[in-house]
Amino acid sequence: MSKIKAFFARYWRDIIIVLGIAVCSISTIFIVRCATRKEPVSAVIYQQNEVVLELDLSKESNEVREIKFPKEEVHLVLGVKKNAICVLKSDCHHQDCVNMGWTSSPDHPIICSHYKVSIEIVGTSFYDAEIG
Amino acid sequence: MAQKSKSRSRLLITLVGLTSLLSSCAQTPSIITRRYVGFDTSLYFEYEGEKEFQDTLVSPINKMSDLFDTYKVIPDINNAYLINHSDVFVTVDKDLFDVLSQADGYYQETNGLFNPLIKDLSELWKASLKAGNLPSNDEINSLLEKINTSSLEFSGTDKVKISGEGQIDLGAIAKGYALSKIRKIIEENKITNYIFNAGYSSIILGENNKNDGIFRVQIMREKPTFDELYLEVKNTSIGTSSIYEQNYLEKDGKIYSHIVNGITGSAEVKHHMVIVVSEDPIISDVYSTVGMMLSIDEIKELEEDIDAKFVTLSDGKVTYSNPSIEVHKR
Repeated sequence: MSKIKAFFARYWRDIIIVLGIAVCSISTIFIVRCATRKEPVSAVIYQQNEVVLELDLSKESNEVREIKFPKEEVHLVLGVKKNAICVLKSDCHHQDCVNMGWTSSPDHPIICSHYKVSIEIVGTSFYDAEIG
Repeated sequence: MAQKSKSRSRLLITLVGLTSLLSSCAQTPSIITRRYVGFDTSLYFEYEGEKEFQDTLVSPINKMSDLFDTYKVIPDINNAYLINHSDVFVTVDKDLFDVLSQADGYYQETNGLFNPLIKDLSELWKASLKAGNLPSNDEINSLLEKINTSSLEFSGTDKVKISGEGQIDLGAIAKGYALSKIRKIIEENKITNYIFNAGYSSIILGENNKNDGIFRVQIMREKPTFDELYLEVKNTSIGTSSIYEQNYLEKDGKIYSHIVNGITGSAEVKHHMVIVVSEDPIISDVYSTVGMMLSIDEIKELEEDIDAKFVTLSDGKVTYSNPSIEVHKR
């Protein structure tokens, strides 16, 4: 017992330094992880497996804004509002993309198989996948 | 003095060790995710491994998507569409030959309930349901007769033709077959943490890189009033069939969907959704479709014969669940 006391008495400065560095390291990791965590408010739009548009939906207002798809051969009009996106118009025959409505969730991407377009919400989810 | 220096060295080593430990904790594993369109649906995969490996997965999916296409000609590819429109043997790629052989095998195994030559009848039902009608018995019987007098013929290891007027429809097996191939590639590359979701109806899963390796798989809620249900699974495959995938019609207490019974020609289904969990993604895919046409008692009997565990749902409620499958409610 006296040996332990003597150890702490002799090296208390070193111990404080080690603990201080450990606390700083843990705090840094925590802060960096929190800062880099993405909230589900960004949309990434792919066409033919290439990213064609990225949108920060958190910066949108509550009013619906129309965005013409950035490629001429793709006849889609997107709708964006705060934290949500949809396909407002498409000339594809099945209209599934339009009928899917608004999405704000990483679990519910919008797909237009005619134009090979997928609209994905970036973020975290309780679930890893969805079936149905 | 020497002892003090020794102790300082020990502390220094401890400090370096601690820093290394924390650094390793802070390192994010290389998780690659990709979403793209194939098989006319949204495909999504995620794995822990090299970034370059994703092309190894995308390429065979694109190839099989073209091979199994029954709706259009693909230049320089002898696909299912070409077989549908040919009277002679067509030389095909090994994957198309294999998927058709296996489809023919499931036709035998299910006594015709699953029929890979049902395309015309399936199209008739889809068009009728979209218009909000049921097809007439004459229309159904006429097509059913053509289908029942048709068969797939195989020659050697790469030639296929249709005998009769039936048309190939691989909708209930294509994605399951593709996923069985993808899983083989993944396993050959020693990747254990992965998920590959082919359009919400077919999934293969390895181990999750978190949550003790377990994936939480949500069962799609078609109405906000339905319970939020999910499965916890790993190292398996899941196949689903659902009336909500396409148009359906409720009439006289019966539900008609896009899934057509190869024996009766009817599209009446017994469940709103069937989920099959199996080691084999082809079984998951085929039997989730077949299960839609079976009663719960018939499903229980089937479970004794094949490697498949069923969950059935109607109106968002679980109506049957294999005892080894727990459906969680959030």
